[in-house]
Amino acid sequence: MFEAHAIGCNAVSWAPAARAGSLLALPSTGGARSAPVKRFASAGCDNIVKIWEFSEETQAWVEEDVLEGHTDWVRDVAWAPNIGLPRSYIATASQVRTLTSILPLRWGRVCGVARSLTMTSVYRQDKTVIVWTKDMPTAPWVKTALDPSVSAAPGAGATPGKFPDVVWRVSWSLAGNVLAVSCGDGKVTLWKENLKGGWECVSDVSS
Amino acid sequence: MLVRRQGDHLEGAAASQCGMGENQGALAAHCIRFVSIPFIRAVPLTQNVVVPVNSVSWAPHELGAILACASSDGKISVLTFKGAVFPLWTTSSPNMTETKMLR
Repeated sequence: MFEAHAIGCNAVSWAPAARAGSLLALPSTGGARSAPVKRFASAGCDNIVKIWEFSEETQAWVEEDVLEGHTDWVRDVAWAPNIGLPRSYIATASQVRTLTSILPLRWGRVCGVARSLTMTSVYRQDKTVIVWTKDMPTAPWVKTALDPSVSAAPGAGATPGKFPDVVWRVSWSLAGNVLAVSCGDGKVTLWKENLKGGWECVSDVSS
Repeated sequence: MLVRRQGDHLEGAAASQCGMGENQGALAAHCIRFVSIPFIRAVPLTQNVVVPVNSVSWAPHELGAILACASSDGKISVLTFKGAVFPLWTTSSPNMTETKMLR
């Protein structure tokens, strides 16, 4: 057990066992098809996503990377399945905070005066889904926010980059190329990457 | 989430998430797909502190029976199934608290 995120950790998702790029690696390079990698991503209430890898050397989990991009709690994280192609995908969903972010009344120590610390700045409403891609094992993670406001997506007309309601869960298809997003408006949208690297809503299903 | 408790066994269909935390640190984890596995009744997450477990996730099968759990106190537990040896589930290493930045 180890401390991962301040306040709380909302979700974990394991990386595929096959190392990114291992499918295309030549056997002659040696070690390319090495032991499967122990790695996962975690999503926290500190608005960030962390990548953890188990170091066989020190027998400890090491924080490998930190993905910053959300402005509110990261509710869910999903690492896309991969058979060993070089490119890795991670989807993360952020959701507006709930009651827990409103602090209760606190009593001041002086004169017993009640001070209200109710915060109103918490309503930032980050209703975004970000897809993080990494082209090569050595490349940095690149973020792309899904945009439901374009095309025929159900959130057309909404603020660009924002979903019409809270986004609860994200899940990849087994092939790792279709992302399902569940939204508080009762719809599930399916997203695919286009040839330009953008993400398009290809289908929506009402619950 | 489908989980049935039978003595020390949990069985059910494939599930991926659960969240609970009312009981004494009890962690009702989920189940391997369509098989019944011996499972320890309770895995204490923290001593004397009860925190909700927000997410559980099985590692890829190539890695063996490993379960990662995320809890509301911001901690992550990685549990490895040790088979017939007691305790059935252990954390991967004793020095897991020592995390350091690679960057």
